[in-house]
Amino acid sequence: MSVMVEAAKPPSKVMLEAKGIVKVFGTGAGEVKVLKGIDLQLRSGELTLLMGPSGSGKTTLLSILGCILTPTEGDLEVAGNSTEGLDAEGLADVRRKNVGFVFQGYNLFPTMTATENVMLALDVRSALVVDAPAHAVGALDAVGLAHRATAFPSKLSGGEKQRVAIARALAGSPSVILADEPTAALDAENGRAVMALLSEVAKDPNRAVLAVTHDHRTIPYADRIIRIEDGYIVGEERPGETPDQGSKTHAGKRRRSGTNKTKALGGRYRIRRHD
Amino acid sequence: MQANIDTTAPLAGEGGGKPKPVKMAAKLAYRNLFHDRLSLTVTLVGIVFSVVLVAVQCGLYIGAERMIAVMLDQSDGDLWIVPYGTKSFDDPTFLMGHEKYAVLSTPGVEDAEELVVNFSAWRKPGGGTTTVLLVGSDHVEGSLKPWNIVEGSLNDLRAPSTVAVDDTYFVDLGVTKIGDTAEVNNMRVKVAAVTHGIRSFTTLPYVFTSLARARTLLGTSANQASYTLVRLAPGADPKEVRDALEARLKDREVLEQAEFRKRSVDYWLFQTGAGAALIAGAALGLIVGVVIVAQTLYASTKDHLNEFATLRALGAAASYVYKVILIQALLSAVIGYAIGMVISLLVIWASKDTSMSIVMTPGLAVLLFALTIGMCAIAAVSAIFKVTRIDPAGVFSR
Repeated sequence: MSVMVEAAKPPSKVMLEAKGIVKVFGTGAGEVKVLKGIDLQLRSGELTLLMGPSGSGKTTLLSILGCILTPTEGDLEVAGNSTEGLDAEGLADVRRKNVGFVFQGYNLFPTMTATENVMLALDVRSALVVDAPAHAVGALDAVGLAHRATAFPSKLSGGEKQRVAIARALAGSPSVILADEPTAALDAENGRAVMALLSEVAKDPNRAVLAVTHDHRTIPYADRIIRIEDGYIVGEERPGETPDQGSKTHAGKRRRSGTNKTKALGGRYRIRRHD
Repeated sequence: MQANIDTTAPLAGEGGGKPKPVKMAAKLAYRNLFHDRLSLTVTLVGIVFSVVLVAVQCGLYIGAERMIAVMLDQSDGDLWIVPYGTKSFDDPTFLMGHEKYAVLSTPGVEDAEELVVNFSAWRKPGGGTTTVLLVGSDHVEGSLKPWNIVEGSLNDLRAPSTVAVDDTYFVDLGVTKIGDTAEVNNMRVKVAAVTHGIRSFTTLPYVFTSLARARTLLGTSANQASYTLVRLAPGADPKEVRDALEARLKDREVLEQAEFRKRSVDYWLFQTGAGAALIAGAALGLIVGVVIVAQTLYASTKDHLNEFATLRALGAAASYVYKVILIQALLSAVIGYAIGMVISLLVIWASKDTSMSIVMTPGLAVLLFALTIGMCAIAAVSAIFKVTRIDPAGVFSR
């Protein structure tokens, strides 16, 4: 019987910090306060789930954290960059340099192959690479899809599409990955594969992953779960953590479990070992 | 030991090559364009229609200008003595007479050449009459004589009662070959030479003959001419010679070659409205092209709005999205221009033996390319305006 020995995990860093985020839509009698003062940190090496009922403000918060919407009040820092006072192009610049997105509907470019979808993200991020197609295929290989590199999205299954979307989100190595309902359009098996993959992605010590979801099947893959209701964060938990055990240890154990699942489902993910 | 997914391999700088930017905007534009073949076809039809219409209209304009000035361009002179108030070469009356001798005795003049030009009645051998423009000139020492002779020769025109006609007007003149006879002002003439491609803007056929025979056919005196063409001596000051000629030849006009050319072209193209119609046709072609391209490009942009929103959400600058749309427009322009030019050249080739002169010059080809690019760029504005209002937040939870 082999014994797994976990190396000392590098200390996590704050990759994204939101303070006092308030978002109000409309004015006067039509005013709707969607977010009512959100404080949130995303730390590197963690997969955080943002869960809550419909209308709780999950997607609005995700849009603000992704620098797509500006908050009515509050401060946001992404990878150490303050977004205060930035116009639409300034926010786009922060997104381009620091944020990768995974969308519920995949949002792949239908006229581009899987490789080209990843290369497009490299172009948007102004990434400098020696061999762009090889780099893109490498990213696809990392999500177990090198063999589908030349396929167009219409020829890919839902799970494959979402994995291409994850490869695209990873192109250019952004500090923060934000996923919007990444499993909502997938069956159970593909949903598990995608969450296992996001869990692997989150292990990078220089990256934080946040997934908005209402899918309880995703909970086993989370390092941390934030619950939001009616514009407030109403709870936060670390699954598997008990009062007498460090969260890192438990998260690590659970994550190893996720890795095994990933291997079992695909077995093609390229793994890099950090000593 | 920590397991981590390798998302960065191969890294920038790996493999020994120099890292360089990834360029995908053109590919995305190309794919968007060719993804919807029907939409692309409609766009190209619009551009091709516009290119052909503008090419033909502009080609007609240039052809008309060349036809109007053909006699002036073919002659070799510095100054023209013309009857007072002459509007164009094809609007002749007669000078008062004896101008040649007055001209030759003016300091600074090397040579003078008389031209007798006037309308005449051409009676066809098979019956019927048509009006022609009879051009009488010195076929030996003069500069204006029939050119592009495809049958017969200038020597053949030395024979009595001979004329040269252009094969473009065989049907109008009722003749088909050398040796056919007709009547000019009730005097018998024989076709001794045939030219090709000497077309008249007024559609009245030019009929060339010798100076003396033209005077006979038109019933004018031996000292009378329609125009006197003046060649200056080397080193002579054109302005001084012109002033001297104007002082000596009252009630006539002394015009520089370029001045007479411009007066002729302006008269036919602008005073008669013919040129304005051609320019209006070209402008209409451009407007129709802009509208069709704008409409299809706008529709294409709407079809791909979600993709453009995704690009924005991924962090693409607005300029990146504009670049994709503009490349789509420019690709359409280049393809449309190429097809349009091929069709235009076919139209021009098909019209080469007709009385309609359509001309394509390298300058016009370049101008058409620039117009097509400009037209498509303008057409892209509506699509760009649509994209500026994209809300990237719309990409969530679709």
